[in-house]
Amino acid sequence: MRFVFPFKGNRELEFANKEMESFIYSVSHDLRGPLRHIYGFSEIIMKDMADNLDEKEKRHFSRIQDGTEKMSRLIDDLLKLSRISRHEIQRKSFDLSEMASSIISDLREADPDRSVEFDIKSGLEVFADPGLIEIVLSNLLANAWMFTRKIEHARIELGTMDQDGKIIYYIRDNGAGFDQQFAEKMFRPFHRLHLEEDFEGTGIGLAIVERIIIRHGGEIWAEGEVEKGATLYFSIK
Amino acid sequence: MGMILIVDDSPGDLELTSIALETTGREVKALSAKDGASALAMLRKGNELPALILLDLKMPGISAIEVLREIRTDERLRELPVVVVTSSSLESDRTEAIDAGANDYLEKPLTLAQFSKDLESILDRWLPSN
Repeated sequence: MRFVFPFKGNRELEFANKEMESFIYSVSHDLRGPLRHIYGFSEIIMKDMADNLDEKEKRHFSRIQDGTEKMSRLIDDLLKLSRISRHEIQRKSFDLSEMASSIISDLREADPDRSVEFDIKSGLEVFADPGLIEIVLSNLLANAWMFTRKIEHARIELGTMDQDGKIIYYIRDNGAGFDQQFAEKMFRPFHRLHLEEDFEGTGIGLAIVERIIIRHGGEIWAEGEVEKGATLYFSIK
Repeated sequence: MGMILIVDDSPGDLELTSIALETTGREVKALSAKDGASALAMLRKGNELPALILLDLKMPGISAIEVLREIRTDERLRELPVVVVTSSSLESDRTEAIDAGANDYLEKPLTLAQFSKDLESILDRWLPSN
């Protein structure tokens, strides 16, 4: 999330953004307390009254807890987003392909029943902040993994292409895809292109990814087609 | 029975922490203080010292860090195990608490069930014979 205040110089703008970031950080932490009370005390009432609650009342309690859990995830994601801006970039050379393979192993381990074909281009050396790029790859690969969930022969590819001498990395899947007219909106915080009942998530992942890529002086964009898959392209300067 | 002093300015958190401690099934007696000043007064006046202190990081008035420093420089209190308990996920808050003399650090989770599990691990570490 970037807050832009009109008619201010760059330094003032930077200061205002930093102020806003730290405001978000402290408010987010202060929101956690009351949220914990709502969840905790509803847990207690539900437990104490377990024998006297009918199905409808139990469902209503579940709604309270689901809502609270969702708000807690949103706060956590908001904090992650604000943390990215405060993180000092520390670049070093590393193997992007190896990093992707390790993330894929984690995805397979968490969901061993899925059969997904991966095609990872080997030996992709990059000079970037490994911690931040791992967040980028984790988000993009996890999205590809999630959006191919309903596909019988799921396929995910990490590759590169040359664009005017610049290396462009891409992650392509053959999953749910999206309507291309919404391609730019997907990078806005809390903006989702799919129903939550179909694909979970808070809608903050790609905003975090975009922010990391911008902080690396790169670009990110997406191409997709409904039910035919999506490709996320990014560069690192 | 181990005595545990919970220091927290939020009445809701004080109650949740007591309930989470009860849920661990461990034999502990919980005492509470609503801020740093009353916690220090209780510790300095009391004949019996608690076996463990659960200290909320963000409180009005005397901060948790100041309370920790007071405890660590007091001849009678300096050896007391203190666990800083907080909503903050900031690494700098953890570092500051540990540097000021906290023995352990616990990020308060959303659910009471998880809080109780976390407190059980804390009790295993700091009150093993209890």
